[in-house]
Amino acid sequence: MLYGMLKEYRALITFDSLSEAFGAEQVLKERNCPSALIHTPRSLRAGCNRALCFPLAFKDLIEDLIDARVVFTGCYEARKEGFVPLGEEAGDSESNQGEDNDDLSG
Amino acid sequence: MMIYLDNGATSWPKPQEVKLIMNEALDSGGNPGRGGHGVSMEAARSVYRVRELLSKIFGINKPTRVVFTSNATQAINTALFGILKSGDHVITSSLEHNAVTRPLNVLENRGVKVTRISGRSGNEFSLEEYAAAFRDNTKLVVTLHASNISGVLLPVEQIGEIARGKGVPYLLDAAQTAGVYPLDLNSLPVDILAFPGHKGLLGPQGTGGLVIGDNCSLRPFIYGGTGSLSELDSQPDFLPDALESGTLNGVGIAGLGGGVKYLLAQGMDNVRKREQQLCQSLIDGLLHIPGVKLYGGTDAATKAPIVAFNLGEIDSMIVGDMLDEEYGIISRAGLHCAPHAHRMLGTIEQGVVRLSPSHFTTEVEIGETLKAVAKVSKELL
Repeated sequence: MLYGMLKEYRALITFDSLSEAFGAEQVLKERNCPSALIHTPRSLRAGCNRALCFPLAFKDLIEDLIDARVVFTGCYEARKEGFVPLGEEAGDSESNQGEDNDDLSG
Repeated sequence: MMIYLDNGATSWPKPQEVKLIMNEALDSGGNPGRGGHGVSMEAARSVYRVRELLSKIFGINKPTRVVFTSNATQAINTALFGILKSGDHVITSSLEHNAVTRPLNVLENRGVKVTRISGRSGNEFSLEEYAAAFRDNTKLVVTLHASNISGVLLPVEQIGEIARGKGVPYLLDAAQTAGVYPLDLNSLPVDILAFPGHKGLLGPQGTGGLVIGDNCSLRPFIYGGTGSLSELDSQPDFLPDALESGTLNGVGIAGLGGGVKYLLAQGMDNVRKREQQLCQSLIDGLLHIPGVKLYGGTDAATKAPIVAFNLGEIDSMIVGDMLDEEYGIISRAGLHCAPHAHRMLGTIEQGVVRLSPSHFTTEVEIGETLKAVAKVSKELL
C-alpha cells in the first residue's frame, strides 16, 4: 500500500542510516527538489529504517547524491507491480519486492 | 561579584543563543532518531544540523563522520580502545591529560606498548626522539594540541606529517583548542580529532565528540540501540551509528550548535585574539608582581588562552583558595589532571594557578585580578 507522500512522489531511496537520509534530504533541498521522510515500505526493509521519497521527475538527482557521497541501500520507482529499481524498464525486475509484496494500487 | 577565569575547565558564561536553543529543544521533545514520528525526526534533524556545522568547521566533508560523545574524554577513550589492541604500539607525549594517560595505562596492562616522548620546558616534544620511536607495530600517535596547564602548543603539523609518512594515524586531543584555533582536517595532518563541546565551542557540558577521517575505522566502545538495523543483534558498521549507541544528548547537542553558530558569527580568530590579548595583559601584569613564577612563556599570541603561575614556593591551592574566598576570582589550582606535564614543569608538588579568560572577560576584571594577586603575594611572601 502506498502511503504518505509516496503516493504522489513515486521515487524512493532507502538507507540503513538516518543520518545518511538527512544528508540526502539536504542535497535534494539544495536542488529545489521536495522530499519526505517516510517509513521504509515493508517489502524493502528488514528493521525500522527510514526512506526518502521524492518526485520521480527528479530521479536524475540520484547522481548528485552519489557525487555528494551519500550512502544509500537502494533507489526505486513505485509502480503498480511493485518497487522497481530506478532506471530499469517496466517488467525488467521482479526481484526487489520481497515475499510480502506491497500492494501499490494506492 | 565573581570573576570567572576557569574557561579551560568549562567556558562560562554561555552565549544567550545556547540557552535559547536548549530551551527550544526541551520544549520540542523527541528522542533523536528513535521512532518515525515527526517529533523524533525533528530532534534527529536538529542533531544532524550540528553534525553539518561541525563537519564544516573541522574540514571533513561527511557530516556522518562527526560522532557525538558525552565529552572529550569519552571521545578519546572511544578512539584509543577502538584502535589499539594487545601487541600494538602507540606513541604519545609527556604532557598528556589523564584523559589520555589513564586509558593508555589500562591498555598498557592489556599488552599495548606505550612510548612517551620526552620534553622539557621550551621544547615540550622532542621531534627527533619521536621520529625514531616508530616500530613495525605502531598503530597510533596520540597527543594533545595545547597543554591544559600552560597553554603551550605542541608542533602538531610536524607530528602529523611524520606519522603520515609512517602510515600511522594521528589522534589529536583538541580539548583546549577546538573552537579556539582553526582545525581543518583538509590541511592539518590529523586523522582523528577529539573535541569537547563545552569549552571553546561554547556549548553545554555533556557534549563532545570525534571527527573521524576517511581512512580510519574504529571498533565500537559502547554497544546498543542505534535506531537503525534494529532487527540485527550485531552493531551497525556505519558511522555515526556504529559509535553512537543509546540516546544522544539531543538538548545539549542543540545547545552546542548554538555555541558554534555564535562563534562563527563572532569569528573564531577574533575571539581567540581577544582572549590572547587578555592573557597578555595578565602576563605583563604578573611579571611586575614580586615572587611570581610564570610557566609556558610570556608571549600569549603563541599559546592557547591560558596563563599559569605560582607565587614563590607557596602551594598553588592556597593561592587559588585565597583568590576565590577573598576576591571572588575563580582560577584553577592544583595538578589539572595532568601529572606528567607537572613533572615536566617541575611543579608536581606545588601545582600551578591557572587563569583562563574568555572573550566575555573584561579588561577591568583582568585589572582586578592582578590587584588581587599582588595583595595575595604581599600577604604570603
